[in-house]
Amino acid sequence: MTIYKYNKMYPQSLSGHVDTLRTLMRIFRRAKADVTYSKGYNPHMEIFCSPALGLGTESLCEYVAVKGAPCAIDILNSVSAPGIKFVASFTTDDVNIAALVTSAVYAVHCAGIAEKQQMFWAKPFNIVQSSKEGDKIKDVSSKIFGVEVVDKDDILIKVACGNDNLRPDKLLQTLNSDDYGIVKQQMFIGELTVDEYLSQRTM
Amino acid sequence: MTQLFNAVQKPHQYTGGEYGLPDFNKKCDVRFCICVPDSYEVGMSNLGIRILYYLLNQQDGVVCERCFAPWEDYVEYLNSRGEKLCSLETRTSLAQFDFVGFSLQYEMCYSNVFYMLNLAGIPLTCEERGENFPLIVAGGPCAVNMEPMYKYFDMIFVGEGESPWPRILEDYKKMKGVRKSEFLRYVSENYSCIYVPSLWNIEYEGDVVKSMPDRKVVRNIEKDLNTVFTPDKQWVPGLEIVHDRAVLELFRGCANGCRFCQAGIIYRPVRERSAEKSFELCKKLLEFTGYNELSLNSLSTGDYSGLDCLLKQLLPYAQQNNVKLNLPSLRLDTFRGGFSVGNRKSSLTFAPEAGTQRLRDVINKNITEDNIMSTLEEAFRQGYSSVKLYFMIGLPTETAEDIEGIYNIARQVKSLYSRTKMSKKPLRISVSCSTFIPKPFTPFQWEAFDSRENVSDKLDYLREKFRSQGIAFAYNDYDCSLMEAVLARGGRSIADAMAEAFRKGARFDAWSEYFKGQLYFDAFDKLGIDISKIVGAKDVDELLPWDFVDVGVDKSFLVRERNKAYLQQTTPSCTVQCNACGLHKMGFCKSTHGNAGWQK
Repeated sequence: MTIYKYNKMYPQSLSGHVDTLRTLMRIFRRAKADVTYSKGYNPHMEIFCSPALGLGTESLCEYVAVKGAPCAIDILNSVSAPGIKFVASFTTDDVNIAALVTSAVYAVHCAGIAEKQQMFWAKPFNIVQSSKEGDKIKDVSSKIFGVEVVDKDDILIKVACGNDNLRPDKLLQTLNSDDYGIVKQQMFIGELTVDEYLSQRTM
Repeated sequence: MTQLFNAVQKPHQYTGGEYGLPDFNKKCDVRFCICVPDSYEVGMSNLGIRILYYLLNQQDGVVCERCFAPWEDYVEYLNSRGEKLCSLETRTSLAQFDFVGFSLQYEMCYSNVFYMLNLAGIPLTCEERGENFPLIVAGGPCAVNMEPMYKYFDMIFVGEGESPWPRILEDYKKMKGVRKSEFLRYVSENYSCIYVPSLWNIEYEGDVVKSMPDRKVVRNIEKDLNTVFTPDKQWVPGLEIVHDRAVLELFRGCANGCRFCQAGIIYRPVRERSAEKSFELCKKLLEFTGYNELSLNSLSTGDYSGLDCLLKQLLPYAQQNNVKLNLPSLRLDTFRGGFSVGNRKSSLTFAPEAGTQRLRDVINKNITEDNIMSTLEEAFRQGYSSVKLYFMIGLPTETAEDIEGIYNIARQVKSLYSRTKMSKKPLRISVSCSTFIPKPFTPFQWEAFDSRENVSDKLDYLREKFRSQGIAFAYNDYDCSLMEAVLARGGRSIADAMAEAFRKGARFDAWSEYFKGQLYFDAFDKLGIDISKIVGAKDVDELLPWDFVDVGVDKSFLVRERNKAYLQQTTPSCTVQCNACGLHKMGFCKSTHGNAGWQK
């Protein structure tokens, strides 16, 4: 299995998770990458993505795992979609990153966020989660691991990621802010960054 | 200020930046913005737009950008920022372009032309715009009767644009700086496919045309699909669009001559791309886009003479590269099981159009009940378990027996499935009925649009019948079809009412959830327009609003076909014999097919 690390920036950051998955599959097809397909009437690429990002959230550390032979990063970038840039690849045994990641650090830019960030430490810190079944109020205080103030309008925030995901855009919306920028900086599996974890498993 | 992604649904549709776009940093003298008066997801699926876009962008000194009709949330977003509607590529306001060209694919998008011009801060009428705004241009199939919009477009392009547009833009480059009126006069005199409404004096008495000039606007027809400009690139959007796949046009025109079908007349004659060239383009498109689905498009794909030859090469390629093939627009008599080998047996859609053989002969839909049943039998044996059947109601000479016939066909299909089914799944069958609209340039252009009472009675009858049989039944909103008929057949007399309806809120009329027929009816009442005259029966000798447009097919052919319809006589496909529609005089029909052995 080859795991590619890529940046997902504007305008791709405005595409949803499923659309991004389709875009990645088309990139691999354009690059003529050797990717394994499932069997049956409707064969599909064996491809697995890191957890979904909120719409508008950019990322410097997305991962996509592909079954098949590795493809050179340069080739992928030559046929990549605007906003997606491949930056590294790891050849490993089967790894399900989405299931393993535990936390992520995001850079948040928002007017006056340095002052407002103290609200993140409130217990409980309730956010509204909307779904087809309706709105639910949920305490997410246990999913906020740390905040580092960069300047008055910029912070770094570490929150839960993966199976127990907390989207930082939801935190900001709770602060009644809808003018912000978020860039995911790093994902972690326990104490290790995903890059460190994958380097250890590289075959 | 609210960010785009928090303000709108599917924000990527407003950002541009799709894969496969040309270079926009080149030096340019002429800026053209192609506008589609419908949503991004619909407009981006349009093949004609794509051809024109890549054609113009490969021309030296020309940049062509795109703009689509935005949804309400984006309009609120623009308003909150005090911004105007702009192009996707360079975010240039539409008012800054030299040309703003609207592609009009169906009549119900007209209100969105006003909507987009208004959002761009461009006055609606040519008169109000004067010299200060771009040339507002229309093209697409609706251009064959643009009279309802005559005062809103500076120029209207009739026909296929590949050859004339680069020349028109070269001329514009040379003439840049001259007054608009001078350029319009020039193109009107030098391009027979261009209609400049302000230069044509057409007299009306109420809604009836009284006189028009002798000269004609002549539809441009590209002769050879093997040499005409065809992009081997295709944009790949970052979000799912209506037709999210690689698309290749196999041929233009249709040989079948169905008497209700406007496309069958205004895209004549059949011009095929060779199977070799088609295969080469299919490969290039798939490799360029990375799509895993390919659609082979035309008005009647099963009639493509090179289909077997193409599929012989394409099927192994598709299998090897995990590509799904899509063959839309198959006629019942051209469906062959081989197309679907290896593909998933999803749903089949066929259009018998009428319920009895008599009425199918009237409309020249040359398929028999045997064709319908034997084709479906083959499909069911292959494992298909879902069928959609399309019919029309309100066709000329229609009787109660023809309506009963629609029900009978559906019932027979159901019973056929239980006799022949290979799949364990229960049959899913749905019947869809639309109200027939007598469109310009068809043999039925003189017929009346059916009345509300008649249509309602027929639909009530069918609804009840299908309900008892557990067959899904869908039908079009009458008001929406009526408005389509008015816009398709109307003349200059309804132009003011169009803008009035827009001012009262009409937009996205092709979307049933947005369409408000009452806005139009109020506008017609206010301006004293009797639409019953527009959609009513017309005399064959009557002057029609679109009579000054020459689409290549003689009016005498349409009259002949109409007379044959009343005699229930059919006309064979152009592949069987020349029916002397008028295009043969241009020497097209026999020389423009791309594959040997086309005429059998």
